[in-house]
Amino acid sequence: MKIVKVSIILIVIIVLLATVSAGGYYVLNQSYSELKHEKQCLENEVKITMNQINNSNVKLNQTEIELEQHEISLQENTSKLQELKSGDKYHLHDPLWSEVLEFLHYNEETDIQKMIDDAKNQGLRCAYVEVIMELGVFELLGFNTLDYDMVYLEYDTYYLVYPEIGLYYFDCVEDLPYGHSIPEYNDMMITKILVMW
Amino acid sequence: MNKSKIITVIGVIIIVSLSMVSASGFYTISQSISVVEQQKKNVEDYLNDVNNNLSVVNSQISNVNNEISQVVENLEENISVLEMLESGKRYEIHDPTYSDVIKFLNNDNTNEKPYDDETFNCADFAQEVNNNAEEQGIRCAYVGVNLSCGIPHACVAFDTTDNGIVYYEPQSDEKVNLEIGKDYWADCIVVSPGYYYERDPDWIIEDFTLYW
Repeated sequence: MKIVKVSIILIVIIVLLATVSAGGYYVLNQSYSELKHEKQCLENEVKITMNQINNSNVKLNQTEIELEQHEISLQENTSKLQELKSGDKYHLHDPLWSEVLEFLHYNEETDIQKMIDDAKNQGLRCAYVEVIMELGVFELLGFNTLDYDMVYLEYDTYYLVYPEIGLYYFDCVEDLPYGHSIPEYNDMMITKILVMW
Repeated sequence: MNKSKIITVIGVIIIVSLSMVSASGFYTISQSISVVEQQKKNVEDYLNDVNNNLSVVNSQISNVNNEISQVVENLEENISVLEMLESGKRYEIHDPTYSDVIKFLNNDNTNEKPYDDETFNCADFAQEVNNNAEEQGIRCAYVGVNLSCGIPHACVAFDTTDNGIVYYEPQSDEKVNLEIGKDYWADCIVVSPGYYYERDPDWIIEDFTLYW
């Protein structure tokens, strides 16, 4: 009877131990498999990201080449532009309004004759303009701009003037900085506009 | 030894063996798990680096694209300015020889126009000759002459390559030896033999200005 009891106890212990071991193996194996799977997933992700980087690098190279080509075009255009803008008193061109503004910005002269000389020395075609009234003559600078057509400017104030025969001079100055002309003063009426290129 | 002792010993041996096998199995699997965990950690770190690299490359692409946009904008602006400048007329002007001036004035008919104090006076004559010369590529100056009478007069000038600056009266195409203090008509105009202009104290030249 004792033998049977001992045998049963031992068998129970062995079975329990085997069951616990098997369970432990199973759980650990599961974890191991999961970890391996996760690692595999991460490795795949790395591969995908590496591919993306390669693609992005190719794209970056292409974009850099595109930029380089645009920069070359810009450089060529800029030098062509400078060539077109350049000139002297023997090689003139009708300017852009921006060129006129640039000229006025850097102008230090207060004498219209010298200003016209300076403009022409820079290749800008510039006219000496006489706005004739009974009272006398107003001298203006004239430019036949490519973008705003003919523009007239007071050489000392740089006010834009839109002279028209029959109108009073002050009414022709942009933003009326001198106020309106008084109609009683007929001698301020423009009778003639002379443009000497 | 009785049977129960033998069974007990065998049982214990089995249990101990089983325990040892289990422990060593557990140990091996734990080791493997640790290794895989470490590998997983390494892969995660590497992935982070790779993702950072990707971000850097993408941001570089974005920067280059922005740069391209800016360059394209400048380029478009340049092209429109360029087209405008190219469409504009270029003026090739030259200083003429003295004979060029004579030839030009002989061919120019401005002097044949009738003088009208209101509608076509000296300034109109000078303007027209000046602009006609410019159209033909000849550099010409409009000359404003202040006379003693207070009424301004106008003539034209050419900076000839062989005879220096020469002045001309555009109403008659006569040469003018312009000189301050002299009578414009009587002293300065070079008249044809047998012709003359009457002297007048109102026509004394006070000063003159050339507008090229």
